[in-house]
Amino acid sequence: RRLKTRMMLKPKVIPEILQQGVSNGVISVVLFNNEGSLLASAGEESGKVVAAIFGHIWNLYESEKELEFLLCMCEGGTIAMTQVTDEVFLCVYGDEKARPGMLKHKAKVLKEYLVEPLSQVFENS
Amino acid sequence: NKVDKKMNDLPDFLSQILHKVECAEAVFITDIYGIVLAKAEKSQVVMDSLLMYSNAAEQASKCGLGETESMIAFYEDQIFVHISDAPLVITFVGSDSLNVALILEIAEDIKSQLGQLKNGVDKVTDMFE
Repeated sequence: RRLKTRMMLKPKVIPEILQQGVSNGVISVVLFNNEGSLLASAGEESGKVVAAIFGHIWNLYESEKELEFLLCMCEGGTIAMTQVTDEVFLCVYGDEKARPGMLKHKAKVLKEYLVEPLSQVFENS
Repeated sequence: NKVDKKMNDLPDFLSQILHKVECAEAVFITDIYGIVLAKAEKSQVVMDSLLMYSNAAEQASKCGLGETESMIAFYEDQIFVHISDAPLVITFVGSDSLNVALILEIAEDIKSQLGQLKNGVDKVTDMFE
């Protein structure tokens, strides 16, 4: 009997992709699942706390309408969050110099790049 | 009575602001529990998110980036902009073409009109603490 082929994440590749978003005031880029568990990250902070907190905040804002992005502006910086697949979320957060529009755009671009490969991995898992 | 006049002028002020912002459908001033204190609407808006902002803002402030100043939710055909002005929350609702940058710019103008309302909410809160 042939074993079913399963797709796996390459653990080194994803952080390299996320690292491309770390510039111009971006502190960190974090990929996490719908339980708030970290899948990958790039930048200065590990992002575990952000993942756990913003997973919960996304659930608060979810409604019958499809939520596409959340932008949160704090005293010391901004967090942009989007959903990549049904199970995977992306956060881009930057310091006070980072422009909210730029963070949202980076989140959008990374999402568009990651959605197809991550959909294949999580569809087959 | 100057205090009453200012409070009565608030819905008119909000209505003027609303008509200056393209694609804005409504603006609400609420307390942290989502109770509407003043509003202006071009059309009736369902406001499920009024209460969630306070909870979300409190959670977000634990990320290490300081207190939450505003939260913007982009839905497929609607945008909600929540702005903190403790103990009040300013909320704009609009279509997906809403000019968010303009709203954030004029937020300070709106905050400047909310002094009396904030004092009133603080007094009521003190009474029950």
